[in-house]
Amino acid sequence: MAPEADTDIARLAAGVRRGSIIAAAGCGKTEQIARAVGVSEHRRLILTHTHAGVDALTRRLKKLQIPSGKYRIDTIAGWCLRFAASFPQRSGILSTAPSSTAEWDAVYAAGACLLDSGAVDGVINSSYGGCFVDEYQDCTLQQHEVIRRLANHLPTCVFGDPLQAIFDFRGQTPVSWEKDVFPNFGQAAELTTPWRWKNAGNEDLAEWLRAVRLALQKDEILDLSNRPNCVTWTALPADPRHQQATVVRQCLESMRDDLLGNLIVIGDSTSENRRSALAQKLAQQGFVNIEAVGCKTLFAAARAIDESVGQARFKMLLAFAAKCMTGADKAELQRAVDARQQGRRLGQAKFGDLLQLTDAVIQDGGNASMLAFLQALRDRPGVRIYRREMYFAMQSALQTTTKTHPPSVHASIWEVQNRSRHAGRRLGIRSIGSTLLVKGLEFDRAIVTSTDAMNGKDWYVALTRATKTIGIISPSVRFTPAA
Amino acid sequence: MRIVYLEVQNFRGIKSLVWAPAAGMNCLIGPGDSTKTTILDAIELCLNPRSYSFADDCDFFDLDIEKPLRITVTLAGLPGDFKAEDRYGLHLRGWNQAATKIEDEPGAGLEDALSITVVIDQSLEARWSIHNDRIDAIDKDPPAVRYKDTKRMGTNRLGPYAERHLGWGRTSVLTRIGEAGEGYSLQLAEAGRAARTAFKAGDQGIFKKAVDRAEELSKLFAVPVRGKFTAELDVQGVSITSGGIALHDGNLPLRRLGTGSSRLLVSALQHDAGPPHIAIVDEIEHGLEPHRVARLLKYLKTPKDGEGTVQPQMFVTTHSPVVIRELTASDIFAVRSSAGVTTVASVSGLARDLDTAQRHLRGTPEAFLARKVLVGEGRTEQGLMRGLDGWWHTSGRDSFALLGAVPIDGGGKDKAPLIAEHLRDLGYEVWLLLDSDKPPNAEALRRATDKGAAVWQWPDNCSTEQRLFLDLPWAGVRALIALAIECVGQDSVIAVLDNALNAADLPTVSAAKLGPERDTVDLRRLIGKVANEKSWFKDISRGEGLASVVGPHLANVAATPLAQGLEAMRTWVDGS
Repeated sequence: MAPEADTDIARLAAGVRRGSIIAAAGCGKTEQIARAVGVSEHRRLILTHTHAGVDALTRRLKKLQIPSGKYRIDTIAGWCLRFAASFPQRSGILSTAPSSTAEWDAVYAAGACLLDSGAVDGVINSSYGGCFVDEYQDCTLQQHEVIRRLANHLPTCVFGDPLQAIFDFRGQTPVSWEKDVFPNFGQAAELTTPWRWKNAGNEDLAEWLRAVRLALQKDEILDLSNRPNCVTWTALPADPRHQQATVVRQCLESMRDDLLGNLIVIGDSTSENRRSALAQKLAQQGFVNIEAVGCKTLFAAARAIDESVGQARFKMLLAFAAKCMTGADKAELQRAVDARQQGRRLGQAKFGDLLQLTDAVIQDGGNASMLAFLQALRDRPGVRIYRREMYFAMQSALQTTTKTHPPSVHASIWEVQNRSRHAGRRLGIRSIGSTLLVKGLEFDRAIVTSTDAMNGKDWYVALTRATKTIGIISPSVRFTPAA
Repeated sequence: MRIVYLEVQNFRGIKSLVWAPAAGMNCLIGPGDSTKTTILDAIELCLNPRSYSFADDCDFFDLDIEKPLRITVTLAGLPGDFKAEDRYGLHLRGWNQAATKIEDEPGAGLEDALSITVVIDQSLEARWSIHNDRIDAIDKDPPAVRYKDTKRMGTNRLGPYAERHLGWGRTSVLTRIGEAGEGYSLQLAEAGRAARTAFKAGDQGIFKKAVDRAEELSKLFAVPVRGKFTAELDVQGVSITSGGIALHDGNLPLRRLGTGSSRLLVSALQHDAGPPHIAIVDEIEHGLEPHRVARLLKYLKTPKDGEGTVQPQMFVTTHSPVVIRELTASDIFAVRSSAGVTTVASVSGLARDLDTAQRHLRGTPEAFLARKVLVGEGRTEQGLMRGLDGWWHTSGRDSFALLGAVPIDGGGKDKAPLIAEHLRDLGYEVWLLLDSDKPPNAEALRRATDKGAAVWQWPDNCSTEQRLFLDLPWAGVRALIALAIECVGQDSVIAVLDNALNAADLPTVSAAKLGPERDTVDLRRLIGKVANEKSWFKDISRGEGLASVVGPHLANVAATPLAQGLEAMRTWVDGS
């Protein structure tokens, strides 16, 4: 690294009254924030979006041996909730245990209201000498309003990259860099040196990604023909029926280079089903889906189980299991269970003891019975789980005793997913995800599958995940990303 | 830091108390058992958390251990680091100085404040915590003040005896000055070791018999003996602690100073030491001559060098008129306790006319130390009442002092009712004696009466002097004139009397002696008017002289308004 230049940026960030620093992927943003905290005179409040982000920043600050008294790291959500809930009259907070998007928006509004009230001026000024906000592109407008008010009290520098602003906000409005950020936080600097690839000795990829970024920033066409050697291209057939086979072939081929490190397959952002279908095809090879915390399939299954009893409940449970694993023999098992309920012995030989476990599910439908069945099914020879996260979330949920009456699997799932949101995830050697799911993560190798919906930001995030090799599967070598 | 609000429940003589003290001096006055010292104890208990329990059943109001005692102190003027979010920032409350009211959350126009509570229940275990309604709403262990911070909140208390502050004990003021704290631990440890060595070097022969026997028996019972038994100072036996270090003047420990001197020195040290602490002083005048009290008060009220104009907050009790005279009305608070409910009223806060209150405080500070106040309209009345007290006392009745009553000068017909009202507001029992020759301040009189002041006004539109001349037997009238001659001189008295008699077409005194044959109501009224107008008796000592004339005659004129009025006063003073 070039220490002098870095210190300059850190000093700039620490000294700016209100400003923003644009940071391209892999350009040492975390490092700069940590250094800026180091050179700040007073304690800094550092806000980010996810617990994984908090962990990453904390680790970096520890690594640079910055005294913990010099900073306080939190998520915007956590900080806002803590302050708003501490002064409910001034913030007007309604729910101190928010779950829905609307409830969270109310928390941010309460935080902004609290900051406006003047009630916490003393606390803020006594607690911090300045504020840094990381991953600003992920802010919603509501969060932006909170930060804007904080900046009235504290010198504030926000870090982010408009080109990595991809969302799944479901009705929330993301912050606009031009309309919202720059008018409040003028651009102070831009980090453009791609340290991640330089440090990995992949100078070629570093330079190519720099060029890709420039092109995407200007909405120019993406030209893969000038790619370096570590980037390969494969044509994606126009006929949708043949597309999956091409992707599968590339995935299988990639296994030759396993020694280079872990692999991410970046698939269709818009379709959870299509990604899981791919994982199902590759289950034998140990490809595993990364799931969103708010995984639709999982929550839908939980609700379906909650809403049914007896044979119907068993059917829902089996349907869920079949979505997590190959070799569940769903149809055959269902027939055997139906026969058994009518007193016939169909399938007895094949499924044996498993059928006794289905009796319990149908008769009492309790969490323990469902758990026993799921585990027995998983342990059958030839079964492979490819939606690992989804399966284990259900398993944990069934082990959790909820306080709700009647016991609700849906509520337990919610609890479990919330916990995993804090804990972060462990990734296997071969994962399948979407740009949204892999944003902020780092891999050795990537296979990027083009879809029509991918815009420039999706492409930028997809192409900047791997440090060593990238395989691109797209209809053509030169194309214009979606708007 | 300063206390802006104090709430006490079920602590010793206080069943309940809420009070917003002043930012600077809070001098508490009030009769015995009005719980003044308990208020100081409550503040000290709440702001000085400690790890050991020391309460007993007597600390509960009415000894009712079922009702936990609870003291809450709300502090403002907090240091910045107290307000940080990872300290007490999220537990702050808002103090509204104008309305003297706590709001549970801070806000614009409010001062950031922090409430500390101590609760003791029948387990006698004291629990200190941070308090606000939000914490109470959550059912869990309330957050506590960090040990390090309690030292900064802690109060400086100067009790009747100050010796402990002249050493380096745990809560001594000397410990707060400088960095001695870090330095002396090693020195103490070394002193301890030296003591053991010195002891070892001494005569072991004294212990020999016992030591040898113990060793023999050990061997007999197979208790292993590693070396040889000796008698030495036990490490625990010679614990030389910081409390053992004391200030000396030459070889003489300073604690040998007189009470007053050591208290003076210590309060000066406390005032001077480190960041300002809330100071608590019991009986500030204790052991001090008036001029030294005055000097001390002046010093304590002066802001410390470099602390701007912020006067340190002080809680003081006193029974001394000297102290009251040296302070201003805003420094003084009257404490009253009734059925366990203690009230603290600001002398200045309740005054309609601050100047009068102030003048009054300077003029008759002893009134503020009494339970009952006899407000005379002027000095004549004050003097008469004082004199009667003396006369009654010599005739074997209880003195006013014993009964907690003090006669004061009301300063005229307009001011006297105002003072009566003010004193009532402050919780004193008041008996007001008024002339009726000119109408008094009617509005103030009505308010004073409404507030419970007893009022006696002479009938028949006459001044006190006229009442005296009207109601005393003729011999008394002559004695009064003799007294006037004593006070203002024969020539003057005769001149003014002759003048007045002449004007009324009556024979002058010079022409005809005032024999019993001249006793008429008109003449009595006329002489009384002259006495009043010429201020024969408008002076405390002259008024006192009146009493020696009036007293012996009272029984003989029991049916007169004069005797009835004075008897009413006596009955009121004797009261309950």
